[in-house]
Amino acid sequence: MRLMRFRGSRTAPARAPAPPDTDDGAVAVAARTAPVAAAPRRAASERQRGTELLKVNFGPHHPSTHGVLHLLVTLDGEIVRDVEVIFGYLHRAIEKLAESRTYVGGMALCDRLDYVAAMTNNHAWTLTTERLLDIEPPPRVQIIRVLMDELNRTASHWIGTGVYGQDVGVLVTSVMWAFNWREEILDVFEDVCGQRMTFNYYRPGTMQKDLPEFFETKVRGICEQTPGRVEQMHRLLTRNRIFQERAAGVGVLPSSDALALSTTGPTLRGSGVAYDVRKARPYACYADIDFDVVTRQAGDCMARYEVRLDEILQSRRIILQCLDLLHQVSPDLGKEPKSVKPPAGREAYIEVEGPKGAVGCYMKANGTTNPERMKWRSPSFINLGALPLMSRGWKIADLISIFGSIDINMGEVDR
Amino acid sequence: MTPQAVAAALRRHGLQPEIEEDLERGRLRRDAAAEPPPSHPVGLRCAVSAEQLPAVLRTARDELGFSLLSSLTATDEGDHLRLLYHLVRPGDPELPGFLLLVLRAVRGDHPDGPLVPSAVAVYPGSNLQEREVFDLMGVRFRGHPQLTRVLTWPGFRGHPLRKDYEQIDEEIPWRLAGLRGPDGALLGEEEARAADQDAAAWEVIAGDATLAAQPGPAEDQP
Repeated sequence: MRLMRFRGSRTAPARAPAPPDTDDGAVAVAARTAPVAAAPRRAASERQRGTELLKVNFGPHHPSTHGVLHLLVTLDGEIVRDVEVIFGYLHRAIEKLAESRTYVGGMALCDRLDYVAAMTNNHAWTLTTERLLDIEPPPRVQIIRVLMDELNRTASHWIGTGVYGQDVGVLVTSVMWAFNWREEILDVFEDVCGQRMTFNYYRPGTMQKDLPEFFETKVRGICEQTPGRVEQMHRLLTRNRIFQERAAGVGVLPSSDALALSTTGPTLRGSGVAYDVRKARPYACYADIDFDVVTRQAGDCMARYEVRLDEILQSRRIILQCLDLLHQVSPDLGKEPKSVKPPAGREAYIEVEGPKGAVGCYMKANGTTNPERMKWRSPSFINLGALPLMSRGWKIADLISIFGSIDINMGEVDR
Repeated sequence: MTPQAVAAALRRHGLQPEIEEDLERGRLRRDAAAEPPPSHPVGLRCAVSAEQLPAVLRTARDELGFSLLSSLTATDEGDHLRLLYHLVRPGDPELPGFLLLVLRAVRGDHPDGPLVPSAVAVYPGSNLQEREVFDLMGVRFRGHPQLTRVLTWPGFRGHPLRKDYEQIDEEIPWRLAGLRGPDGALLGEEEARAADQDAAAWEVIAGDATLAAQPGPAEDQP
């Protein structure tokens, strides 16, 4: 193989750099009003004398970038001065593909977005389709959906916390435990819909099929184990000296910045803002269920991690209530409409609370069986926008810790 | 703050907001034969012009408390593009829905689409979302700090979510995308193709001959 290096084309004309866009001074305004972290930082705030800034490409194949994220890090010695987030390596044009799929058939695409929590993706897609059709599923279907969402939230949060333990270099044990515990939930999903990751289980107005035999026994068995497992995780990670050094006080995101940067999910709640779509805009049967919105005030990596572990316990509460509710409603599972053809011009934007934040689905109908436009609000994509602010001034090793605490999924970032 | 109060505040800025009503969601209706619950106001929808947008966003954030810009997207309507801004007042049970700002932007002749003011100065979180809209739908945001492609690569041609986008396999090849000239400026498509043809612009950094001349791995030696 011949390796070539571009030396500079002789045909390329020399160009003066483009003048800055000073149309209405908006750039200057952006710089002035950009959020500034108020919290005290441990890392050095001024440049060390005589050092040279170094740009380092971090990823897209680095094992701790959770897939194919590419960070262009500007380093001053060990200290991160700036981070540029580069992605798109996994872009599969799902929003464009959805325009050539039917409302029912296209749901398989949204499974591939956040493949760790495909049930909540299914829920966002189905709710939007139902809103376009103006139908509402029977109670049993709504309870099953909440059950599936919460089981999947538990599975996703196990991954989020377990892998974070490895990211900060505590032990591989946390990953092994997390994947084992998630495996039990995936077994339940396999019984329910035949799939372990890309479920395609929801349908407009109904579900693909009813719950299997022994479902309740298995789920109650998992729920019985959950508090002990959370405690086990606390013993392994939360009370570990190394973990505390790496997570507590690191990457502080003040609540005002978290809101300004549009973050949602544990990233926002870890900064003390009690915003949860399940409470703010209840869907399915969340308004009938008793649960708490978990928040932490610190806004650091530890806070985001603790929010996840506490949400696992809240999910368990919701699951147990749903199992009881299942016995109180009629066994009617509803029917899928014969043709899913919403009227032309109707549009809907629905958000559901995914494990990583608010998952939004916008659809516009044109009177046919395919949506005219589908837009996905990916929480991971938007939460990543907070990474440069959170990691400035910290050391390169802390960047891994901060990045891991956001818990992103590249399938959802790149779409 | 009720939707009516928000509507009154927006009317003072010369806008005509519409209040959106919805059923009460999130509760189980165990008796299917019973009357559906009545609708009540949950959110607002408001058309804005490009000139009004920065002032309206500032009012929404500072006076009306819509501190979260949840989603920013665009749709292609043929002769114009529609930008949708979904704003949220977190933790307000009186206004659970969105304040939806709809901006109509005439498509114009520019290949990268119409020019509208950026929301980054008011909502810094719209940075990535505006880059995505620019990349996929082709809307230029004036005042955006770094309006470059985000999901596709530099050198990609066209804006794929537009209805008139034709799938072509004639984009600049990967190795030419993002190529910079001697002056450091990004090469355009024509220049990159010309550079590809220009053998003198490239230098060989490890030829086959050099590799062949090197001794093999140590275990091959006796």
